[in-house]
Parts: sequence; C-alpha cells; structure tokens
Amino acid sequence: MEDRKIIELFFARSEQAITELRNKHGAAARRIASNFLNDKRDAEECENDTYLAAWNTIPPEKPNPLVTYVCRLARNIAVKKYHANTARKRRSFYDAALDELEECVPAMENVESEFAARALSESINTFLDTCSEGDRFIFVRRYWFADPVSEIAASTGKTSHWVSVRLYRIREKLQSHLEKEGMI
Amino acid sequence: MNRQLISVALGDIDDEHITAALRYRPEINDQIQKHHPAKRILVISLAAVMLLAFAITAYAAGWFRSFFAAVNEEYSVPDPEKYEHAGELSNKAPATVDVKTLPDVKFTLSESFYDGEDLLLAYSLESMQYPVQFGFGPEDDGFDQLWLVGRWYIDAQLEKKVAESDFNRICEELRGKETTGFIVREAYLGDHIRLTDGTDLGPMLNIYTIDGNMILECQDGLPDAAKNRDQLELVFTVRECLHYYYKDGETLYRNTLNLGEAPVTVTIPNNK
Repeated sequence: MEDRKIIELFFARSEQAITELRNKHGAAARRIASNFLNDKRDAEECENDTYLAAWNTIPPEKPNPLVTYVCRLARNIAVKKYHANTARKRRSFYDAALDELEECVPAMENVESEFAARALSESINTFLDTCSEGDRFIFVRRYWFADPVSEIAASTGKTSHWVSVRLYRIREKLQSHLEKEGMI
Repeated sequence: MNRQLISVALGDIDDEHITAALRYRPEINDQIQKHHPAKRILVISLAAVMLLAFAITAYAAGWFRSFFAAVNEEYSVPDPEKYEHAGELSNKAPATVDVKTLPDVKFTLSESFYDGEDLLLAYSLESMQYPVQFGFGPEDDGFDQLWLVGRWYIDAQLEKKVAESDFNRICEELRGKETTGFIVREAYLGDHIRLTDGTDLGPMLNIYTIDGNMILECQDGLPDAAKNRDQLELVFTVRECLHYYYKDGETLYRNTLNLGEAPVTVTIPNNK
C-alpha cells in the first residue's frame, strides 16, 4: 500500500493503519530497535511503541516520507530504552557506534548539556553537507541507524575492512570540522 | 555524560540525510550493466594469457616479488618504506590449510612479516561457489528477520561469490521482477586474529589487495602481549554465512545469518 493511503487510514482513525504500517515499514523499525537494544523483548516493545507513537502523532503530522518518520520514532524510543538499559550493562551495536564517535568528540564539560547537544547536532549536520553521498550514507547508517559494519559493507558492495577504514577517515574529518567550529 | 550528549545530538540529524541513507543506491548497477559478456570473456582470456606469459617470464628471471613490496607498485601508500622493508624480510613460503569443519574451504597464508614489533599478512580464501537458492519468499524461514536496506541495488560483491550464470540470473530477476528473493552462501575470514594463548590482535585492516591476496595489518598496531616473540601462533576464524535478499517493488530487504565457524592455526616466524 502506498504511504499516502496509509496516512489516510491514520487520519480516518482506522486501526488498519497500524497493520499496513507494520507490513510496509515494520522491518525498518524492528531493525533499528534490535540495533540499539540487545534484548529481543525490549526490541519488540520498542517496535510496538513506535506504532503507538505514530497513532498518537498522525494526525496532526503528515510525514513525507513516512519511512523516515517511522525510523525516527523507532530511534527516539530505542535511545530512551538504551539509556535506561545502560545501567543494566546490556551491550548493543549502538554501544560500538558510540565508542567510535566518543574518540573524536571529547567530553564537553562546563557547557549546558541541552545547548551543547543542539550545537553539536548543527555542527554534525553542517559536516554531513560537506561529505560525499557515499560518506554520508556510511556515517548515517553507522551512527544514526547503528548498523553493524558488516551490513554497511554488504549494502555498499565493499568489504568490512574498507568500511572500517572509511569510517575512520570520516571521523578524522569530523574531528577536524568540530575543532574548526570551536566545538572541541 | 558525553555519550548521552552525542546520542542526543545524533538524534537531531536532518531528515534529508536519513531519507537519503534509506534511498541511497551505490552506482553499481550502471557499472555492471556496462559489462558485455562476450567482451568480458575476451578481456578475461587476454588477461589470463598475459598473466601466464608474465608468470613464465618472471619465474625464468627469478622476478617473483613479494605481495607486500607489490603494494608500493600498485597503490600510492603513505609509508612505502614499511612495505618495502617487509617485502625484503618476509616469509614467502605459502601455507595452505584445509578448514576442518568447513570441507569446501581452503585458507592460504601467502606471505607473512613479523619482526617483533609489526605484523603484515597476505592471505587468500578459496571456497566452492555454492548454488544460489532462488525463490526465497514470505513463507520461508528467515523472512521475518529481514531488515530494510532502502532502494534495491545489485550487490557487486556477489559477482565474486557466485557462479556467473547465477549472478546473471540475480541481475535479471532484480531488474525484471517486481518481487524476488534469493539466498547466497559464503565463506569469509573474521576480522579479528588471535594467538593460541587467547591474545586478541584487535581489528585487522585490509586496505590493499594484490593478485587476489588480501593484505592484513593491525588497525591499532600489535598489542604488547604479541611483541618480541620468536614466533606467533596465529588463529584465524573462517566463517560461513547465508545472505538473504528480498526485493519488493523498489525496496530491498536483507539479512545475514552465520552458519558456523572454524579456527585455523598457522605459525609464523620472527623475520628479524
């Protein structure tokens, strides 16, 4: 079913909307949930919460493209659960991605955290604008979707080693960009 | 605290970048479409004849070169002395090992260099080309574990992993069918090498490939525990997996599941 029709179902408050959303974009939400949460039950809960969040926000939202919106909902919910789980020491793919980024974004202390997060986010967006399409894809799949390197390699037709090296170079560029912008 | 901050900042990456990552398709299809089968066979045959002629001449003249030294000839590298030096001292006697629990796989360590401080390895992995299982669909095991990749594309790596006839059929099905699915079986080398005492050499980088041999080096240098030994007993991990692909309209879904793994132990000398 086309995204437009699914959104029409949401606007008509038809529960069929959830079924159609699950059929079309459920795999994307499931994938993100399992990347961030190293627990099958948590991932299932996250997926269901994503559909609930879509139900609660459409309308008034009329997202286009719908899959990006679903991914963002799933990621937001997964990140919240991830931070709750950190105390329980459950390692996930997202931990590995954060470990890598932490090396090039040293601690920004004495800065009000909400402000710092917004500034860092803007800087990362500016940085991504300067990257090639391929580099942007690799960065976003690794650090936003928390995809394992092997899966990114398969998507790009390269080896895992090639992707690891490329990610290393991108992180170097990001670090240099953040330094130039006075972020670190 | 910093992790949480990074996490929050990443969450605000622009929608356009997320959407682009969902829709991105490497420009592989065009490259593949440009290959004309007859032309390709001619080019491969010509290359094979030239390679044979070169091999005979090289053998006669004693030119056999090191894979490490060849890195300098074929790539522009930031530290050419490292490969030149390794090529001069390396152990060039290839060691071929059958992988016990994976009978169709053969691992060859073609060249090694270890001087107590640095490690360079060249290897190749041969395995039979398993026939591709076509007709994978919603009723089959593993379907519910697929994840969305984005717009469909042809995985260029498949050309090396499957028989040419299977690869051609994959291309035809992906281009011509609205929905199609298939499963590919593959053997590959894990990206961590350990010593027999359990020391992990960390992630290995493979940047260069010479004549089908992958050149491996430690991403973060050799760990102290692996330095200054008379020899290293390296344990490689060979894995087999199934790659699932399913195309639905413009969208590609896929997943990879491990079938099994087997350790391969090779001892290399200190070349210092």
